[in-house]
Order: sequence, then C-alpha cells, then structure tokens
Amino acid sequence: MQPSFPFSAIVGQDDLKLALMIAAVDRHVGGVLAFGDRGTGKSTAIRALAALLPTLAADEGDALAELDGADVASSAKSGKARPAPVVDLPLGATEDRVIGALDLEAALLNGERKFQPGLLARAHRGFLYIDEVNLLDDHLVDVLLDVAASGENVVEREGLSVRHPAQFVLVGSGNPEEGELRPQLLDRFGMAVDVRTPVDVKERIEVVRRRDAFERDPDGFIKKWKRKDAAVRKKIDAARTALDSVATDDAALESAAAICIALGTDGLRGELTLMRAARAYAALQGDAAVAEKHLKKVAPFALRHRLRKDPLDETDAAARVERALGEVFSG
Amino acid sequence: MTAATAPLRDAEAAGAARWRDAVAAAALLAVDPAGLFGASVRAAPGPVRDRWIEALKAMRGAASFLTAPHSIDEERLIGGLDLAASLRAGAPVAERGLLARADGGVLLLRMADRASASVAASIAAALDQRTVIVERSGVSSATPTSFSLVMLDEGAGPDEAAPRILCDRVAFLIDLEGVRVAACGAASANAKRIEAARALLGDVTVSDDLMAAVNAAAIAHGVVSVRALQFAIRATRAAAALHGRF
Repeated sequence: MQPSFPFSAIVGQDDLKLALMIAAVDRHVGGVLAFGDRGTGKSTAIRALAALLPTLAADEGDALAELDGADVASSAKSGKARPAPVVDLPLGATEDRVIGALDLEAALLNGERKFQPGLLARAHRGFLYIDEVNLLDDHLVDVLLDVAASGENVVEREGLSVRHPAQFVLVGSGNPEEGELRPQLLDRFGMAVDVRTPVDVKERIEVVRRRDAFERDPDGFIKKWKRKDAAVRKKIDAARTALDSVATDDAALESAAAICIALGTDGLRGELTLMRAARAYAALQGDAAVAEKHLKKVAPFALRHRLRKDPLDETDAAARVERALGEVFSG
Repeated sequence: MTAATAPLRDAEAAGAARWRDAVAAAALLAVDPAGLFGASVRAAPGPVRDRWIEALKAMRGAASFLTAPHSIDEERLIGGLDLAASLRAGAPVAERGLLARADGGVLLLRMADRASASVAASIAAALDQRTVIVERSGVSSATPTSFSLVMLDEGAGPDEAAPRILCDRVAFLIDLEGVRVAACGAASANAKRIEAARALLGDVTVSDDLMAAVNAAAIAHGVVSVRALQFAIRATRAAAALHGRF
C-alpha cells in the first residue's frame, strides 16, 4: 500500500481535521461522517489520521481474547502493543469477511471447524473506515447497525457459533449525490462534516503543489512534515490524558440541552454527543472546563445530521444550527 | 461552392479538429499515465473509436490493454477465491481480479455508460489508492496496482454517460461525435518521442503565475474541482515535456 499523505500537510479542511481529532481523542463521541464535494480529500484526511493514532496497550484490543484458543485461527491472536487498527471496509466486501467465517484452510486441509475472524474483529478498539458509505450493501448496513448498537459481533453460520466484542469508531465518507444514507446509519455517526471545495486561488494552488510534491517523492515529503505531524500526535495524546479531568458544569449541560431543544433534534444521542465532543475539543485546546466557545464550535458537527425535517423550514442544516446557537447564547 | 456544401465543410473541419485534440490527449496520456489516469471516450462503436484506441496503443508501447465489460461482476473485477484451485490444493488460492492484472497497463471499460455504481466505485477506489483491497470468500489481500482507465462511453442522450465518479478521476473527456473516418490520420507522436518526453517530465516546472492562469481558465469554464485543476496542470506539464520544453 502506498504511504499516506501527512495529516498536517492537508491544506484547509479545518472542520474535517478537527472532527477527526475529536474522534481520536474520545471514541465515545462516535466517529465522523465526511460528506460533500468530490475531490476534496476526504479519504486522504481519514487515512492520514490513521498514522497519528495512539497505540493500544498489549492487553487492549484483542477481540478474541475470550475465545477458546482451539477454536480460533492462531494467526489472529496478538500479544503485544500495537498501533490502533484502522480497517478499511472495501466495496465488494462480502459478509463472511466482515463478520468472520469458517477458516477455509483448516476446513479444507484438516476437516476442522475453526473461526476465521473478520474485519469487525480486526477493527475492535480501532477505526472502521467505509469509503462511499452511501453505496454500502443493505445487508452489510444491517450488520454494522446491529454490531454498533450491541458492541458485539455474533456469528451463527457454517456450523460456527461465536461471539466477540466489536467496539470501533465508524468513519465514513461519501457524496450525498450518489445516494441517500439510511437514517439509522446516519444516526450512528457521532459527527458529520460538510466538506467543500476550496475557493481561494492560493489555497487551490497549494493543494496541487503539495499533492504533486508528495507523489514525486513520498518519503521526502513525509519527512518534511514529520515534526508537524508529531505535534498533532502529541496534542491528541495529551487531550486523551486530560479528557476525564475536563469539567462539565451545570451551565454547560443546560446550554447543550437548550441547543438541542431549540433545534428539535430527535432523542438524546445528539445531546450526549454534543457534550462529549465539546469536552474532547476543550481537552484539545488545553482548557480545564467546557465553555460556550467549545459548544459553539462542535454543535454543527454533532447536530447537523440529526435535525428533524421541518417541511415548512427550507433553511439548510448548518444555518439552522447557527440560528439555534444564536438563540441560546445571546438571549 | 453551393450554399449546401458550406455547412458540410464546417462540420468536417470541426470533426478534424476534434480528432486532432483527441489524439493529442492520447499522447499526453502516454507521457504521464500515472498522473493523468486516463480518459472517457464518448463515441459509438466503430472505426473512428478503434483508430483512437490504436493510436493510444501505438504510443503506449509495450503496455498491456485489458478489457472489462460493463457488466463485469465484482469477483472478476476485484478478485477473490479460485474455488477449483483451492479445492485441488487443499488451501485457499486467490484469483487475481482484472484490476490487479491491469497493473502497468490500460483498462478499457466497455459500455461505461451502463456500468453499475458498485463497479464504478471499486474502480475508483483502486485508482485512488493504487491498490486493490480484497476481503471476500476467505481471501484477504492488498495488491498494488497502477493502471490507466479508458472508458468507452456509448451513451446517446444527455442522461447516458460514463459514471461521474470515474469521470472525475480521469484527466480527459473526449468526444468523437462528428468525426469522420477520413479525418483519422496517424498518431501525432511516435513511441520514441513519447519516451523522450517521459524522461523530461520530472524536470518540467510550472510557475505560480501559470498555475493561477490555468485556475482562472478552469473557473471561467465553471470547472471548480481541485482535482480537475490538478489534471490541467499535469497535462500542461506533459505537453511541455512532449515539446521538449522545461
């Protein structure tokens, strides 16, 4: 696989980069859906983040730890510290590879019934990335929804009966023009970011120049941006450590609730996501408590995809969020 | 010259100009296949389109040309398990899909206007990452692959066209409508000249002013995508190399 473009070398796309960093700081915020214009580097940013993710401890992340050793294909178990997995769910992935299935080699060679873990096992405690998420097969969407809700992958097929934890951050990208996302799947994404094509001439030229420099000499380019990337990694690490000690006082909780009420968002998930995202953002900023500025910054991410459709209101989602923020924080 | 033949002459001249542009695009594709990614060629099946493909073949030298029908299924495209071989060998044997086999050459997608969204998306992913990722039927692999995509668009009306997701990812959208066979001359550059241009490509520089000018031209034509801007710059660079300029 070719090396990935450095995260800090990405021109613009500040909202997307921030949302991804928040997802890296607190997995419970629930991942990012990046939708919007073509050719805006959505996939690039997501893959770039993978290189900056904190490592997992030795005992963390092994989805198969609880399974009886004899039943699991031996190559799947790990025992040492490793980078947080970022697993691609490629187009055309079949269900057996996603949820796991009979280990063909053991079956064909030895007539043994063994479980070959799938992508969901590999993504445990990491990230699952789906490009063109709106084109995902319906039955795979069903699988993802089920696992995302329960945190567990239950495999009942081909004579196997296996169950293992599967908790991962879902990251998706896509162009809404290509197809609608099922509301249940849309809701699973903690944050949604609208990615737009840069308009400024200098910015556009810089995007082209950097991309060309990277393609010409990937290793050299990565080296040039190593320090800046290391700084981002440190920032994420520090925020993760500080996360639990960031204060969320009653005023912040009330503001969050007020914003959601003003927007008429469905259910509680929006509110929870908003608070968590605000906390993660505060941690990234090195602030000790969640304040108005944090809520204002992350509200569009957390809420734009949860708005109940009002047939009488033609305003676009971002504008509605801005309006609600204006109501809550002025009057 | 009667009044009736003048418009005919104009149409022929327009067709001839279109052909020259199409062959020029093929030459640029031959100079920088990795940077320009390919083209969509809109034409009815016939001798004109065949001549264009032959011109590209001549300029690409030894590169292989593989054909995918629009209806190709995912297994054949992406790859997967070779069941018969697996049963014989007693172990999973992977079968390389067309995307992996096209590495280093050209993939021709026939009747591209009829290709499904998932075929288009699979090809797009392979172009973006220069890799084919396979996760199916017990096979798990990531195979590097770098190929040019030539879509043969046989659409008739405005609603029938090659998939947008793929048109975005290739440098040229070529239309051979109205080109008559008689206008189809030889390729504009031979393989040797292409080779010389490829050697020069890495040294060609493009100034900020020139980039800004190309950008302005793109915006003026309503082409906003940065990817398109990137293709325009790369095409400029390839053209400079082809003419021996830095």
